Amino acid sequence: MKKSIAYSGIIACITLGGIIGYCASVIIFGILTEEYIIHLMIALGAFIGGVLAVIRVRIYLRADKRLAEYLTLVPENAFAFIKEIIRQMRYRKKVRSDVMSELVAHFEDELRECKTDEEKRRMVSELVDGFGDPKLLGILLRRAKKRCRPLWRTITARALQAFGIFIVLLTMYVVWFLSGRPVVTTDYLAELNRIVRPAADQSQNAAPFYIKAAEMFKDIPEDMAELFNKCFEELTDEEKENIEDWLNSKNQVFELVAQGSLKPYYWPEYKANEKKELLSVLVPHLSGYRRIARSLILRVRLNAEKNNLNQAFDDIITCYKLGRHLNGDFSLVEQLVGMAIEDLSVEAIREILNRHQPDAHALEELQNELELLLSSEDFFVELEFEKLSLYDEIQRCFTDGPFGGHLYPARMIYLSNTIATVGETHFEEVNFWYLAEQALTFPMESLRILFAHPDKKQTFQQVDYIYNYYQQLSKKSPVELRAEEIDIENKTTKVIKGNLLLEMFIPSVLHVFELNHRVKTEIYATVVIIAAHRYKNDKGHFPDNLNELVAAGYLNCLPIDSFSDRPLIYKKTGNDFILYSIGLNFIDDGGVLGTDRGGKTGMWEDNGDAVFWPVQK
Amino acid sequence: MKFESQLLKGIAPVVVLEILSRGQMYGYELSEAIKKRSKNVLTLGQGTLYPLLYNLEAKKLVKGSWQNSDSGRQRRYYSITSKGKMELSKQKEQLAQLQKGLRYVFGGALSPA
Repeated sequence: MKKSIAYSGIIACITLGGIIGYCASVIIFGILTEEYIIHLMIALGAFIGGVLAVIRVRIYLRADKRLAEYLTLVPENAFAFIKEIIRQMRYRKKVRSDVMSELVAHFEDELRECKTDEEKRRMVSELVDGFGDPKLLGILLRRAKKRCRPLWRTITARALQAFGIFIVLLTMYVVWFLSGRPVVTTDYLAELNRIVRPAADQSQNAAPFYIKAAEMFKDIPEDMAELFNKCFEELTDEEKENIEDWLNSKNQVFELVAQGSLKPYYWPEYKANEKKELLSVLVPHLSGYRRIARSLILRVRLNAEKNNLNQAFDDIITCYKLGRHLNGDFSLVEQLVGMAIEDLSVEAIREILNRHQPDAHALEELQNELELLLSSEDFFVELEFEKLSLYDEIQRCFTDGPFGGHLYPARMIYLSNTIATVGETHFEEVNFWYLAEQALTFPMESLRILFAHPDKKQTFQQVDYIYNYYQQLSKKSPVELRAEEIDIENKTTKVIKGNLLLEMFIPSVLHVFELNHRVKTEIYATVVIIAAHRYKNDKGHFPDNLNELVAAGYLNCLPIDSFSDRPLIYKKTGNDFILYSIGLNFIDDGGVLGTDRGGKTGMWEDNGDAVFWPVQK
Repeated sequence: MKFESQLLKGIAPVVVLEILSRGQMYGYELSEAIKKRSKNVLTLGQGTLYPLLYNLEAKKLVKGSWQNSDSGRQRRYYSITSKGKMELSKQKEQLAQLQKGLRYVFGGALSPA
């Protein structure tokens, strides 16, 4: 029986050693380490476990043998008394064993002179009286023996005790940490839909028209998509005819967009999953809007080629309004698509002016329309959607209640996997074992989440701070940002450092701000170009400078270049003119476009100007 | 004669050190020696003896080691250390002073009536 217990113990220790070896290999080398290292560590762990088990079993068997020997030396009741003293000692086995040997020896010596069993019984009784209360004696012996131990053993014992307390507290903390659950208290989806909706009834909303149009314009046939991607100048007459036919078949779509563009407002109704997570809000019609805008611009070009300029300008304004509508208080993605569509529209105007001769009336109408639209456009990037999305995510990522407020790891892992598209992790799959695996794979991050991560309140404060900061910056021009030496990325990183949720979700807004100012500059430049052409139609030549345009009433005011905070640069060149912004490098390069790494010139390269007129091929 | 436990507790370490200063002994031998040398006046209960020995050992006044006894069996022998000897002489001096003081106080009346 004892042998089988011993063998079972050895096998258990070998197994445990193997498991510890595996865990050690994961902690030291990470879960993705080479397999042979893991095997080696398992083998090492099993070997050490086995050796320790054999040693332990030998000690156990030896102690057992000694106990049997003691029983031959002293009577059973005396031995039971000694055992009780030793039991009460509650100290290290080795010390207890020594004390037991000593006490047994004492009894043995005392009983040596006793001849009869009766004498022995009496003597044992006297001795038991002499030794007194076994519990008290056990305590006294333990105290005395504790004083005997060397300093290193005391330090080790204290360290182990401290470690044990630490492990217990850590376990309690981890259990408490993992048992916390977030409570969704605010319906941010409703809040979002409330914010984006202006004080107007549904009849003034362009969204139903656009959505219907996008739904009707789901796919572009492959052959048509190929033609769409071709440069317009390279299209053959036959190809143009094909495109025109196809576009004519979509007249109903364009009609819907035109109807929508006449509406004063646009507001979508955002929809989320059944849990109302803002993270699940999709804007499914955006790609449809982009396709519609591209098609409209193609139609503009085809109409312009046929000198049907009024229709072309109408389509441009429709397209611009579509972009303007999207570029409102919505998600960043919607705003970016809106900017792109606005940019596409004004680019088409410049193309038409470059190739055709619109009459003065059409130009005046176009300019008036554009200026009217511009008068209500503030060109601020709105971040309320992103802010509310983060608020919503904070309430789902942090626990609640009087002792809550810490990060909820299961949600964080789910989010990071979703963002990194690592497999298809469903939230329900993030159970304890999954958490444990992640904790072993990313030990430093896990420690950060456990002990050093900002809590719910701090995260809300960080979000408020960052978005207030962004909102202020969105009102500044690029040249102002440069003059104030504002490093948005660096500042953001400093504020959100250590906050895993914000590190994942805070958008990179610098490029969006810049893009916004680029589009704004292009639109104002296009108004100037229209005004200059109107001037030429009336006076027979382009003005000498922009002041002439203002003085003659073709422009309300001088157009400001966001990249210099000074008027756009206009220079007359013979019978033509050049109009440009100093561009991303904030240097006047004399109206020379910058180039990309391949040497190809481009409008917004960071080593030259952005030239709007003459139109660059 | 039974001593008040506090009184005995005060002098027991000196007694043990004194006995051990004459040669190493194990627990039983020591308790027998105390009885014999004090002519049964001082008897150290076993419940006091071992904690006392371990405390002296902790203070490094005695040192214990397992050795074979005359009977051939293993016993834990205690012997006095040099630190123990110094302590003993100090304690003895103090006891002498105490005895002197007591004599001054009680005069001839210190002997039992």
